Amino acid sequence: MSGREALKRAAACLASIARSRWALLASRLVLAGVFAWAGWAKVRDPVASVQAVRDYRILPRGLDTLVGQGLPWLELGLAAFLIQGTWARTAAAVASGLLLAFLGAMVSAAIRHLPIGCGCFGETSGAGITIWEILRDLAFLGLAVHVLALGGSPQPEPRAWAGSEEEGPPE
Amino acid sequence: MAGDKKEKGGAKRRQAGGPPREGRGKATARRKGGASSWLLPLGVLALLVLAGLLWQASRRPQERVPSHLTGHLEGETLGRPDAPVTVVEYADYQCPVCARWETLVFPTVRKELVDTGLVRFVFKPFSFIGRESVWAAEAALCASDQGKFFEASRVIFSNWNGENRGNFTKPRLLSMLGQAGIGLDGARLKECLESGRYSAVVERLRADAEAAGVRATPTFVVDGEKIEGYLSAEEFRAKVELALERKGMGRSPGP
Repeated sequence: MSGREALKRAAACLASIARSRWALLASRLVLAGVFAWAGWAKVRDPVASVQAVRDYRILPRGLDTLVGQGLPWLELGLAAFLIQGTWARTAAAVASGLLLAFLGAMVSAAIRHLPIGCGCFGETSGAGITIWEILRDLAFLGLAVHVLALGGSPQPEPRAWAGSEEEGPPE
Repeated sequence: MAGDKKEKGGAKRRQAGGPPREGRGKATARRKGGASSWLLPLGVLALLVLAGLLWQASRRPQERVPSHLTGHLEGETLGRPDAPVTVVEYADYQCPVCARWETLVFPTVRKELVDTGLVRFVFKPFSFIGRESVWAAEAALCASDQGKFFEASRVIFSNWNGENRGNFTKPRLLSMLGQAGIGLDGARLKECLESGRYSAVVERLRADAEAAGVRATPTFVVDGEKIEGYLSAEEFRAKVELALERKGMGRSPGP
């Protein structure tokens, strides 16, 4: 019984940490850093970026060029939104979609034993997708979902009916 | 979010003594604002990507290959122009298999098939692995100004050391070619490489190769037959022999 209580308390504690503005800020900034790095590496070398997309052999020709050249700009834009904060949730939503797509691509490449690098940060060579790259993607996805789920307007829906909470500062 | 700011303002007004019972109305108003406030950032994001693509496209305005350099689009050639068999190799200077082929197989091929007049060998740089591939190809083409394309090519390939890790930067290419003792005029080479004289050529070569359906390096085209990947000297000789037979010249080129 007390064990259950402790578990409950720990969960509540974790939830309150996750909801705290500092945790959200940390998630936003780390995610922004990741996307800024990835975007910058690819913008600097669009040839390699297109090749990285092509290596996955998923998209048809033509589309892979567009994605390879457009993706880095999208990543840089997401980074900017995440840092600035006003549109951080939208950015987190798009980032989640993007990270899910990357996950799918990496898993499919791993299943097909394609001898490629993940191309995530501008690198184009490698001996195949590793489990670490997939776990890394999942970790980033966690950050994105964190910002998406909790990074919205401070004190979201409950305000509408819990009148007493309206008195507090909107943090 | 624009909706948040409105809400904050609303909260302040309420704290300052507004009517206390407008909570529900506020919430629905905000939810409506929320839907449109998703669209605005998404639109801005889309515009940003579009702008980035356009900027990239404008930065590299379909560079036209100057007319006096268009000959290089046919590839660099070795051997008798009227040799019975033509072999085209598409290769990237950063491709490890290409480097291995160049050092292990090409010398034999050159001695036994090219120098004997059986094969006209055409090398087409297909630079897709990264910027360093492009620079390496530009450096080799710059050496062709001094009639040393294949010598420079060999030097670059023999200095292969991984992909996109700073091995084929312009200064390093200049120093490796300068120190190789193949009789290149270093100053001329430097001027050529740094002015980007061949950048449009290298880019067009890549586009042409893609248009020709080249998907991997090395790719060999032996008398019209496309072969992807490494070919040992024996396999290469066999392919050439086959081509010779097709032409009714089935004499054994080897010993």
